[in-house]
Amino acid sequence: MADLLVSGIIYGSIITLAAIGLTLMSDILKFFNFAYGDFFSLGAYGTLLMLGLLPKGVPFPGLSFGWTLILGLLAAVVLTVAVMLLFEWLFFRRLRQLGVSPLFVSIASLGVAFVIRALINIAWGPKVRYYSNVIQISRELPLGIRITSDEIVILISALILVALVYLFLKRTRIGKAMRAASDNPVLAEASGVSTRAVILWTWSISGVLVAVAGTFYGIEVQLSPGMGWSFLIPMFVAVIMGGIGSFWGALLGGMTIGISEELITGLVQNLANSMNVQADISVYKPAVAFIFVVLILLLKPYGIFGKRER
Amino acid sequence: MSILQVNELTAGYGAQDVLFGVSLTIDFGEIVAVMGPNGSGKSTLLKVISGALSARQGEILYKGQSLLGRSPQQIVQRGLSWVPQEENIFPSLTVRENLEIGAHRLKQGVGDRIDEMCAIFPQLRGRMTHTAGDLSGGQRQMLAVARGLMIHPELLLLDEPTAGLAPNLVQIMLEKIREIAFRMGNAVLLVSQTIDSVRLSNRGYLLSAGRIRYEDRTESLLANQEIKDLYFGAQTR
Amino acid sequence: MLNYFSSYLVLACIYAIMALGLNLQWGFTGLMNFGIGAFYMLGAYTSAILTGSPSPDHLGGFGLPVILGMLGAALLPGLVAWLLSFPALKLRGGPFAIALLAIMETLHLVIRNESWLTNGVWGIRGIPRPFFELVNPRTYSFYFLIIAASALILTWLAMQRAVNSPWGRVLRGIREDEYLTSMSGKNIFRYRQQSFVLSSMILGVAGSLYVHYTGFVSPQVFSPLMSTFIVWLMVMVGGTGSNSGVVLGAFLVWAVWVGSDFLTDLVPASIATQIGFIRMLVVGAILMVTILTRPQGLLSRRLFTAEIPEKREG
Repeated sequence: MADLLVSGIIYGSIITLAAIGLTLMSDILKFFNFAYGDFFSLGAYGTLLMLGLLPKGVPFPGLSFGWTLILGLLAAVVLTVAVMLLFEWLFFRRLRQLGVSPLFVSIASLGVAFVIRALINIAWGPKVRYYSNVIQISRELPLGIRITSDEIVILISALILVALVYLFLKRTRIGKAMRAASDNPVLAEASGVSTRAVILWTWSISGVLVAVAGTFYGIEVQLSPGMGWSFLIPMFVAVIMGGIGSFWGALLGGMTIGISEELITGLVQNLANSMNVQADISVYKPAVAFIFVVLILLLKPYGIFGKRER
Repeated sequence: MSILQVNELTAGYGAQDVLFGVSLTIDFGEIVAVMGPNGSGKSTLLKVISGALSARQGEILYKGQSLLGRSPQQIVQRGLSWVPQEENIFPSLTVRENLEIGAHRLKQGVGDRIDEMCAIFPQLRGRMTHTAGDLSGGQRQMLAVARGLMIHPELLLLDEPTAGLAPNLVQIMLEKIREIAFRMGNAVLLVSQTIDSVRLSNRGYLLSAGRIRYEDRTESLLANQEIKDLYFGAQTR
Repeated sequence: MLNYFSSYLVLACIYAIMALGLNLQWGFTGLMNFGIGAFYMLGAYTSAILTGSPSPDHLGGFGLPVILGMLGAALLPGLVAWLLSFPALKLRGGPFAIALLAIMETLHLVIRNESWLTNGVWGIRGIPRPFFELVNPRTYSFYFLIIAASALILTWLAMQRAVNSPWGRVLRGIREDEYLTSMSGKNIFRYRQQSFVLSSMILGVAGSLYVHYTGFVSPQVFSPLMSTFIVWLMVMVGGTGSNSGVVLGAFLVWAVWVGSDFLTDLVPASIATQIGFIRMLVVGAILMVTILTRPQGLLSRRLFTAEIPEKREG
């Protein structure tokens, strides 16, 4: 049980990082970006690429990675954000100018998703990859919690990053402008807020978040070209549950989905095992997500912290 | 030169035009009212001037320069500030943050300007950290106007500033507007369908079904029983 | 050569039927369903289980006639769609798409993992193929084409009738202006539900045709790309809301797909192995270009752009 909780929290924090970026993007850009999962993959593979370019380093004591991964991650973040901004500049901005309706822009983002995934497959092949060969052994903590050092670092880093984003939104001039644009885009414009700047910052922040989230997943589990696509459902469910545009909603949604998927499927699995039923319950995680979406939306049509109709 | 000159303005939504050849003038420091019944296009007029909606025909000159094709951001930077009738605050931001956004393009003196707004609207003073969406109707209106004033506008566009306010608050709001115009010397284009608001102005236009029907000094307009009956209905009884 | 061409045509017909199904949901009812593969899969496996020969590895083998298999392939997806419509149709746009995607993912995983039901990744073999014993196996595609083409024509005729009927007009009214249509007393939910269910039945029939053509079914056949998103591409290219358009789209896109097979013979081996991913790249690129240049698709006259840019708020 404690194990499930720990893995749920790790999984949940990765989803949360991505979901915060996604909720901002869905709100301000007003469409569901289905390529977001593949930007997640791009972040992870970008780190792999950079790792390959840097001289081989030594892992930190107790961890599976060292300075090279951190530098690689930073470079990958820059790369991912650059790629996203390129798509915004060349493609999504044009769609907006043409007045294409949001549903169609969402479908178009599917095209972007396939392009990125295909390129990742072509460049790195479909086989699973890892950042390092170092095997992590879990340490025992009180209360029967077993966690690896990598996981502790991931959790703490995720927490710091979430806090930084919060401070950015709350304290900086552009952060407030983004929140204002989310509340009331027309009034924000009439107050002098630059729509252009808000859009670019939105892409950038979500780019940072999704690239880091992807890399964390790569550290924790593995890299595969379809890794982001399989995160698409939990990420979107977290955003929808929490309310599009809500920072706290994404946080709550992300942790809830992450923990629930692990906990529910894990408990059912234990039940099945104890009854000698041969079944792999972990595959039902998307079902958990679906049930959540429907339940929450039945109770609160715009999500837990959702604002008015989109 | 007047601060605002609108010539033969035509605008609308989708296939439908709402304004047909509207012309008006506002001088520096003047308070001008645009009055008229529901659906006459008063709000649309302010939307077009502020840049939120494009004009289809005609011209809008602000201090002699055309506003056509300019974005709302560019227009507000020139000193033309718009306070919409509804959705005129940022509900999830605090009162202070609302004012800060109003001052988004202000290079300096934001803190001082906030203090000035608190002097004019004391109700805001103790509520700086309150979420704007939690404010009462009257407080929201005050905040909405204060937000619009942060940028030291030379022309303030007010859309029904007293709509939905309790009668005592209506008087207070009108007092504030008068006080602001007096202290800061800005011109005001006030859109309203209530006589009380209209009385703030020196001059007025009557807009009905998208066209200007009358233009005169306010006292003359309001002295005209026919106009009052037609366009202000029950209020005049 | 003729067989190769017939094979292309058979699959094009099957995809065209799927495209007609999607067009009903999306083009006429505005449901952005990213999980249509689920119903295609359900139809395929239902047929396989109902008509296949008995096997210790999986459920089924009832050995029923093909026609009953197809009936089942229409009914089960229809039933599932009916049940799902109650929660799912409360969602709109993006959330609806995600929910259906989650359903498809779940179903795919169930089929892969519940071997007792479906024989998991090893699939189900020995599904009866109409006329197979009667003709030369190498020309089978040509004979199956008669079945597939007939099914396509029937479906197309049915869809044309449906969208021009009073029922179809209400559907289009809902898509145009839901509020107004609800004011005239129409039960919006019922109409959307009927469209969703009917569309799913069509997808199920397509699945059934597929397994009766190949004689074999396995989960690998139903990747999201091949079961769902290629159909989306066909609809977007051919024309949202145009029955003829989506059929055209199906034939065009499938021609490009099959055509790329020829390319594998012409290019160096290193690229040939990547052909699957290059196809994915091309699908994505064509989708992007289509929406950028002609979002309504080739044969659709309607403009599906947002309100005229000058209107910022209502």
